[in-house]
Amino acid sequence: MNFTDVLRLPCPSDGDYAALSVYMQRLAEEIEAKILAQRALISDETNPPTAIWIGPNIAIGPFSTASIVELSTPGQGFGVFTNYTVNGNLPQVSATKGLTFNEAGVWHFGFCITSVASGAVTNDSNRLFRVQIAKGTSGGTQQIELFGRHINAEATIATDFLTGQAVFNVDTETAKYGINTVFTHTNAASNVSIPVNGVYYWATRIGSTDSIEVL
Amino acid sequence: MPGQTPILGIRYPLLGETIDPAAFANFANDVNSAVAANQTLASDALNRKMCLIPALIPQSFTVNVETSITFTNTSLAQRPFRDNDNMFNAGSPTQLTINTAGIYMIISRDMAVNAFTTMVSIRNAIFRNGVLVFAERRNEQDGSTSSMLETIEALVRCEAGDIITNRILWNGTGGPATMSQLGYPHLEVFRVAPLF
Repeated sequence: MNFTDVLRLPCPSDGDYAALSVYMQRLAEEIEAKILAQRALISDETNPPTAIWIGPNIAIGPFSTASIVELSTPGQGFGVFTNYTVNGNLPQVSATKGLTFNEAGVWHFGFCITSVASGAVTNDSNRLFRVQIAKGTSGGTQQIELFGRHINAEATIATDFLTGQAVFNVDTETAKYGINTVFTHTNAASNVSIPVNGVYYWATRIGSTDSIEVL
Repeated sequence: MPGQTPILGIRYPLLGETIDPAAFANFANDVNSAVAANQTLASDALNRKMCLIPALIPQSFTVNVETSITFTNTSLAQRPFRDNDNMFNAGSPTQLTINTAGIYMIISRDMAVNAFTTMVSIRNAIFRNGVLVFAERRNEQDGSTSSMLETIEALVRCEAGDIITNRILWNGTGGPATMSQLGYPHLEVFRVAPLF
């Protein structure tokens, strides 16, 4: 038996003529395996794990400057469009570990937060949304990525929008990762609400952290 | 009666069957079909549905009037126009039409704003079928005499036929109310995944 140089596909030697059909069967099966492996790699690229969350279904607040509001998705009536599950459940955005990511890789996560003052607006008061990607370790919580958006409001009543995004690595211990999402404001003149569907999150896996062998 | 592989159905002769030219042809044709299908998938992966489009003409935005950006299918070296799924129609230059359903990354870079005197805020928003999907509102542009740049981006679930518009809303006094920096704004829409 001989083999091709790169893919190691079998082909008969001079003395294998009587077993040609067996060689063709083996060749067919190995070609199929190679082609299916290629398709799996292509699928990772064209149909990556992706999710879009929209919620809450009931407004959050109004809350004062003293509040630190966590905008996590569990239990707050978020809709999610997704092509993956995490341990059989729909993915969530939560500081609770193990609810968001289904596999290791490079992930892209982003947000758009809408906030509304219930009354007067304090000039230059801030609206701040922070996201911390964290991993639980034996020594405590390790910060993987911290990002967010800080805007100053004008002394006019209006709806504010904040957006942001980041790319980070998730290793194979996906069950140890969580996303902490915190909104605060300094609008002393009135309280602030997050309206219905005022939180928009999205996540997609954009690549592997492994070295992919290219034949 | 030849055998075949379980998934792709590549036919091969069984032991004891005559290996004639037809058997080879079947084998080769089945491999050809499977490889060609992979080629199509790989090609799609390397050539995602996308529309990258600049707005190269001066834009006029009246204070407190939300206005759609008018795009142009003309390339500059640094601001290329690319549309491989006929999303842009010059007859409707303020919108893109999604022609292939999927999850799309939409990125908007808004424009340089020339010398506003008392600008209070500017909002850059992406709408799908007339409904705001995501946005950012920047405040405190008072006395700006230089360019201001803002980038927003998000994944958006789109059906075929969905209309995407990119709208600007600003308030304040002074002016001018014309945003004229060449090359901005720029809208980028590309398909990340099929619909779930």
